Amino acid sequence: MRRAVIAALLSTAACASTPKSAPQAETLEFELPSTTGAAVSPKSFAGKVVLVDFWATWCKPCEASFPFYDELVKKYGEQGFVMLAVSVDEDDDAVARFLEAKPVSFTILRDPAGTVPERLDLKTMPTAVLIGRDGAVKHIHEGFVEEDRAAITRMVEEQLGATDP
Amino acid sequence: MRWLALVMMVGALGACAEVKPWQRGPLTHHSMDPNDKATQLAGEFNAHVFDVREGCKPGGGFAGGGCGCN
Repeated sequence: MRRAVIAALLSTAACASTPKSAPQAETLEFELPSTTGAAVSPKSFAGKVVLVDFWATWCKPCEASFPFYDELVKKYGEQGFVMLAVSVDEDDDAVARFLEAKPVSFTILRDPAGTVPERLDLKTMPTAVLIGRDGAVKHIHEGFVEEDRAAITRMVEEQLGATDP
Repeated sequence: MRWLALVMMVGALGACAEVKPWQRGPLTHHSMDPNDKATQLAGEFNAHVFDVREGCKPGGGFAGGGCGCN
């Protein structure tokens, strides 16, 4: 009896920090406001390859990834590559200051409440979700280091080469 | 007594809150960094105020008589 009580108490305590398993989403659906005020959804880019990146101004790897993503957009934009960067910052001013100092050519969306990362149960920042021309999630890339450039470029190129069903 | 200790230990474990990766912004504020210049200055200022107030027993490395003039 005593052992059962101890086991029950310990299992209750363990629940507090048990991570949930990431859902294997087939599609990524959301609608978020951009920094210009327009509501944007990945659905709006049907037939294109969309990379949705979850980032924040306080996240150093996110900052390091932006020049690379800018290059990708410039290189593959005409072939149908679209970049949507979802900022989870709580402070609008922080995002504005960041973008003023480091302007980018792609669309910045705002999700200060973290509703989409919560739904996806993201494990790290940044996380990039690659959506193919058919609207299905093809890859989820967690984190960013300089060595990831080649792998991400290859993933994007693969999807750009894939035909729209 | 052993039961009380066990319950307190389990309660303390259960009090841990998970901070999601996208919620870590406030933790990156400079005030959370003990090596931050502003944090250090605030600490030194507070130590000085404490030493002046408790002048009869300086504990922060400052000697003083508690007159508030140092």
